[in-house]
Amino acid sequence: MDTLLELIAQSGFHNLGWRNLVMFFVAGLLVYLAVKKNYEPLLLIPIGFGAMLANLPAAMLDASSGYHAEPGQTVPLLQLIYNMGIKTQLLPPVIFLGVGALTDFRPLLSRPVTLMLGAAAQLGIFVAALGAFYLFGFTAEEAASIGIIGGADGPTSIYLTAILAPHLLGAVAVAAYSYMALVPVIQPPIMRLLTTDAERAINMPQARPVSQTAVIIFPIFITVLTALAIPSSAPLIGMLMFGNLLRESGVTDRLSKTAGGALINIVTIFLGLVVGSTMQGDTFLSPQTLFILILGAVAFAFSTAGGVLFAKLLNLFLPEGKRINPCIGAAGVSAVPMSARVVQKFVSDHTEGRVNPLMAAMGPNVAGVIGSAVAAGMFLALLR
Amino acid sequence: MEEPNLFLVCLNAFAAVLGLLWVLALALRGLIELFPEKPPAPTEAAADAALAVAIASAANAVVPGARVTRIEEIR
Repeated sequence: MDTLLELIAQSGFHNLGWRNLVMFFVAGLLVYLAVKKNYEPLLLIPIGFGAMLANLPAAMLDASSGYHAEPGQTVPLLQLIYNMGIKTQLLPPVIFLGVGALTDFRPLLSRPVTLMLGAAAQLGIFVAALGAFYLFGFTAEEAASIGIIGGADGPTSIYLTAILAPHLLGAVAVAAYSYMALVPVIQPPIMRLLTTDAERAINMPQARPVSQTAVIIFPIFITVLTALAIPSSAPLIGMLMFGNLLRESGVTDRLSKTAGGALINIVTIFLGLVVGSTMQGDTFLSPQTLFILILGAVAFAFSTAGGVLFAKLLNLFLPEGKRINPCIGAAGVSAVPMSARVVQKFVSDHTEGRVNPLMAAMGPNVAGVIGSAVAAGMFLALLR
Repeated sequence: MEEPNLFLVCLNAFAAVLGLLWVLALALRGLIELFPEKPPAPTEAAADAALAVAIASAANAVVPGARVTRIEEIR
């Protein structure tokens, strides 16, 4: 009888608290959004399942930045992946390698000015960081990690947060991926508010073709210039551009396919699962998480507005025939390629199909990836 | 440790992002000027000439004495 009571006392049921139950609901919600609404399923399913595992009492499937193993103690599975992949800052740059291998930077190369839109669309990062610091009382490191949600770039958010505020990793990652999935809901009202019918109808001429030589030199060029200017952005930019060189060189097809296929998939599984495993009820269910979700929405909105308004500013200096459709500035928030598709649909719907800026919007869209990685590098340089 | 002035941090960081990407935009502009997309290779022109002769021969075979004055490619 004593053994039976001992077994019951050690079981998960006995240790189950209300926080665990709420977290089961949160995990279920993430899986539901992924399956039913197709919201970033490749990330939200591993994160949701990881969150469920983390809240199974006594299962030891959670992970945290503060874990210390006693000598001779076995490190739990997901904590081991956390230590090896997140603490070492390994996984997010490897994801960037795959992203580089999957991204065509030609639309950016053919219109270099769109790089500026990708820069301006990082405005939300800094607005949200300031809001988190001055209005909600977060520390500077926490505020920067929250602000980076506005970069609409999951790996960058995870990379920066894992270094500056690892205890916020779960909330920041969930906010980043959730809002990325909500780009079609967040961006159109802001574009509608900030542009006129005449501006939406600006039909940009076809971009100039780009030579294969320029396409191959591009990743080397960007890596060297960026890493020399902001060395702390080098891990992300370097891997992104290495992946792109594999893609564009034309002679490393196998490596490119691996980086953009099997490798990125494997790393995504580990990254999602381990991020979910940091979402223990005790730490996740706090007012801070709610504030992070609010600030994430603010960051996205300001980033969209920043891109659109900067495009309007550029138009003041551009001659009549070379003006850009300001809506493409909204695509500067990264979220590749969803944001560019949202801009295309918005403009096409408002011009009855006469204007289709998909390719033009891809320029700021991929520029946003570079912009958010540079912004993260700046935060690291100034706050670490 | 003293809390950094986040306003200045954000201001500097945003200025750096804008500044660096502006420099990169200029550099890319230079790159595509330096390595422009080349016009179609001569072999393509030669192929076009051969194609024109082939079309003219075929037209002559069907209508002797006919002269092909214009060839239009519709993709």
